[in-house]
Amino acid sequence: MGDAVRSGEKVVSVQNVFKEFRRDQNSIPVLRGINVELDACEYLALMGPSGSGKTTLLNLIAGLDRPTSGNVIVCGQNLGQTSEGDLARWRSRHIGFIFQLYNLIPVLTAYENVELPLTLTPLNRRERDEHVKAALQVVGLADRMDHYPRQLSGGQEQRVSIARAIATDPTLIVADEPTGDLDAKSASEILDLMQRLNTEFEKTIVMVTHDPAAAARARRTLHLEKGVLVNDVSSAR
Amino acid sequence: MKSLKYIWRNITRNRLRTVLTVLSVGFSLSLMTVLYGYMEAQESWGTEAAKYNRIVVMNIQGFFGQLPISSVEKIRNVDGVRAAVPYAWYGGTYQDKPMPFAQFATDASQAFQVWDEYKLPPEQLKAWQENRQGCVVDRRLAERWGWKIGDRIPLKGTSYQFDLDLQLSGIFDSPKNTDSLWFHWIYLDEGLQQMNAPVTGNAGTVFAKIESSDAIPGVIKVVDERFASSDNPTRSQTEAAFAQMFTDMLGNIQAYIRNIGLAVVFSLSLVAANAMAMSMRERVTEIAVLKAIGFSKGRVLGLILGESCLIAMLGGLFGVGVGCAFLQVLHIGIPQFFPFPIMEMIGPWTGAGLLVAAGIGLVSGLVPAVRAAQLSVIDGLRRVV
Amino acid sequence: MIPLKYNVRNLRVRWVTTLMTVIGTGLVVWASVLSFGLTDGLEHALRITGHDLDLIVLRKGSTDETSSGIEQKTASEIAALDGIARDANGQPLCSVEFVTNLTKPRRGDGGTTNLIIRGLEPVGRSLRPDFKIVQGRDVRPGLNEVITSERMAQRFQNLAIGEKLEINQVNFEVVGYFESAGSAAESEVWSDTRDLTNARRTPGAVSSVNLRARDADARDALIKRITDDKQFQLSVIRETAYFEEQMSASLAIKVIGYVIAAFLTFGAMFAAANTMYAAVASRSREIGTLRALGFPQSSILMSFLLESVLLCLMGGLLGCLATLPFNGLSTGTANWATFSEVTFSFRFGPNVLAQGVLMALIMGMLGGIFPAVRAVRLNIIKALREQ
Repeated sequence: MGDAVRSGEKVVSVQNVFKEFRRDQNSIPVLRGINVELDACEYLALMGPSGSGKTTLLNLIAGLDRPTSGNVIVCGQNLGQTSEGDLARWRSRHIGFIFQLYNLIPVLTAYENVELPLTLTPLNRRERDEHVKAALQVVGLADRMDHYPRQLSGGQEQRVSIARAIATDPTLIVADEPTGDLDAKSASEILDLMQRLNTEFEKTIVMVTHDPAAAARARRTLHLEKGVLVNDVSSAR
Repeated sequence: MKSLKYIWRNITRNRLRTVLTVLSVGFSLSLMTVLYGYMEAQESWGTEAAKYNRIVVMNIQGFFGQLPISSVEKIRNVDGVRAAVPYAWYGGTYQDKPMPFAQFATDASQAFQVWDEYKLPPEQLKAWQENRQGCVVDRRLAERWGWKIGDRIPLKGTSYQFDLDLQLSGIFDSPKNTDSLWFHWIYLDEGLQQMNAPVTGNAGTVFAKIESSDAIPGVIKVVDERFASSDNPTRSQTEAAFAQMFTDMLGNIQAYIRNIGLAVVFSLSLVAANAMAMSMRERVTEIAVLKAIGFSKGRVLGLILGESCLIAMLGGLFGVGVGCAFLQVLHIGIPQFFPFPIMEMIGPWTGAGLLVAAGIGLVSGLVPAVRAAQLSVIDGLRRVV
Repeated sequence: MIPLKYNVRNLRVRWVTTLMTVIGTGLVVWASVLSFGLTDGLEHALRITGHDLDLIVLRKGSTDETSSGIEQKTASEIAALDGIARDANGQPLCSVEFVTNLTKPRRGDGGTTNLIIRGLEPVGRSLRPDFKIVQGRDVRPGLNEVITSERMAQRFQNLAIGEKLEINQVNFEVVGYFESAGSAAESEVWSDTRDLTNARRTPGAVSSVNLRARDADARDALIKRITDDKQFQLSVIRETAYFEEQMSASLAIKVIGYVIAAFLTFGAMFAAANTMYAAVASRSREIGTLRALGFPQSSILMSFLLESVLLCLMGGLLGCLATLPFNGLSTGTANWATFSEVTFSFRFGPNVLAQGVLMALIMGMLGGIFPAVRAVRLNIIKALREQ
């Protein structure tokens, strides 16, 4: 399982990254000289107040955005020097996404939503079917695969979204406030599931969260404030 | 009109959608304008003709029957007839172009009494009457071909074997573009006689000016009775009825054009209603807020209907404008189908286009407006929050 | 590739909008296809009439039969020319014909229009495509009888079997209906030459000579022979060219048809664009998600373009289907070349329908391209934050 990321090689390497946004004439610095390295199988929580730049950092690591300066090297790819099209292809191969609002496609069933990223791979229909069913099995929703998102509860929707994230067997899973829209019980279930992905399936995970309870599940927590890294805690779990 | 400002803001909020709706309504209405303009052009001769108290006498068998030249004199002698002339379609080619404009063989002595609304300077009339090969043309026709008085205009016959070598004697002004050239009937007939043509002495049709509109039915009756037992019985009718014959020849095409127009209007209403419904769906909360702060049902209804009508009217203005411009282009490009410049055609039917636009606005706004008016404030506020 | 079912389901989910757009574009395609079918029917009637080996001889300078006149002596000389095809009995396929026009009232309240009456000998019938009597019988010379097509009988007063058509105060009885493969002949009334010219008080008059050449070489030789003869003073036209020429009569209708189609395509295009822009706007977050999952920009473009095309194609097919009840419906209009009525049937052949579908495709493509580009250009991060 897992991509050819040999142990010892960093999965994520963020080197002296600056990011500015331009609004009208002004440029607003969001990230100011960030350095982070992540080994394989790490589980990182990004915390910080609103506007601290944590989501921006996540987007950079996920290859949705490019830094103003500095390097973001993920799974051996320097994302700052990769074209849009190549980034898209790279994301489909290496990244699994978990969103706060699940972002399932409302017109597709649970099964079809999970299958969606697989249509970007060279897998044939039968192989895709195996992957989809395996992923839904992992999140415990194999019996709901023909349901549409609106027929599922929030927690179930998020589990489908996790199944979608792991279906392509990516190296890195990024999650943006995965429990932000859920009640405490569902949130806890989702966090259990993510922990399993990390320990059992050896996925590297980067998660943005407000919630200290969620952060506590991670092996390592980074605190950002005003675009600067202020604290890096590894829990010895 | 305090609400007008709010309506306008709403219209300009999603500019793209407004522009697309306006263009969509506009293009289809410009089509309607062109179609109805075309029909108007077909019919305008008839409506125009009713004013001038003229009748047309032709062979009862139709355009291809004959009317001996002697009948002109007989018609002139009927009580109530002020003047009468032969009027035969020549249909020749000019510079090898088939049917470049209308050419008629007529009688110079009375032509401008029959068509007394046409103006020709007396010295030009005199010049025409004295020149056997002379002809007179409509000013717009002369301008189109760049003819000046004294120019030679050779015409080659198609249905007549005799070719004409005409010289321009005068240029007349008429209320509407007639696209016509008149020459001496006698010049044509003598030419035909010299060639031993099978048919000579044929007046074609006879146009007569009647003293008053009241006298017309009597004259028609007398003329038709006088010729009833001759070799060539006649059918006389008012000029308007004569013009109607040409319109009738087009047959069902007219009805067909009208139906297409209806279908287009219907589909437009759907399109505009669709755009309106899309706007409303996005604004449910806002409408709820309006109602929460005390806007009555009627006012909400008015706001939305006002918006849909204004958008449709913008489309209507655009459509009628483009349609009229297009009619002008067609007039320049293919004058045989569109004989009138747009300035001469603008009339009530142009306003009808705008009226249709307003109707589309009303119909398209109705469902969204009623739904908005009946929206429960609480539902509306909850839907998005 | 984003699966097609994604688009199909989205169209289904916002079915009210979809339905309205489909009906809107459908009506537009319907109106256009109807006018294409009208033109096609008219042109078909004229085209099928022309036979490649047939020639029409007219007086020099004349452009159509109704305005032509030939001396009888000349007509017989033409019949004797070499190169004319012969029928099974050895008779030359050369028909001396008299054509005239009458102004007659249509049935119902359709006003009056001109009607072509043709006097011809039996041999003339073999020059028309698939001529056959379908009801009643053919005319007998000397009895003042006429035959016509059933379509004409329905359109004109006094043209049904048993009714009497008045020609210059002489009554001609309608004794039968004929068919001729839907050609222009079906817009005419036929009688015996002598009966007709007598009634018209032009005994012995000849308008034109219709003949069939033995083969292409003979045809070209005949054309040269007749045109070059200074005594004849005749012009000879290939039948195909003659009717091709008359098609300019359908020009007005054709121009109207294409103007209709062009304007409506634009109108419907904007409508489709509107619908698709709304679709893109309401699905920004989905688009962002798809992009995040790794779907390339080209997939997004294709997907939205496809959805737009699908939307318009449904309308197009609906529009085409809605024209089917009109198929074969007969109508008529003025043929300005002969100044008389030409009747024909609407025709919705594959070509006409293909034009309708093509229109729908164009609407979908042009209407969808800008919204699709907008979808592609959405910033992923911003799109993901949309409500």
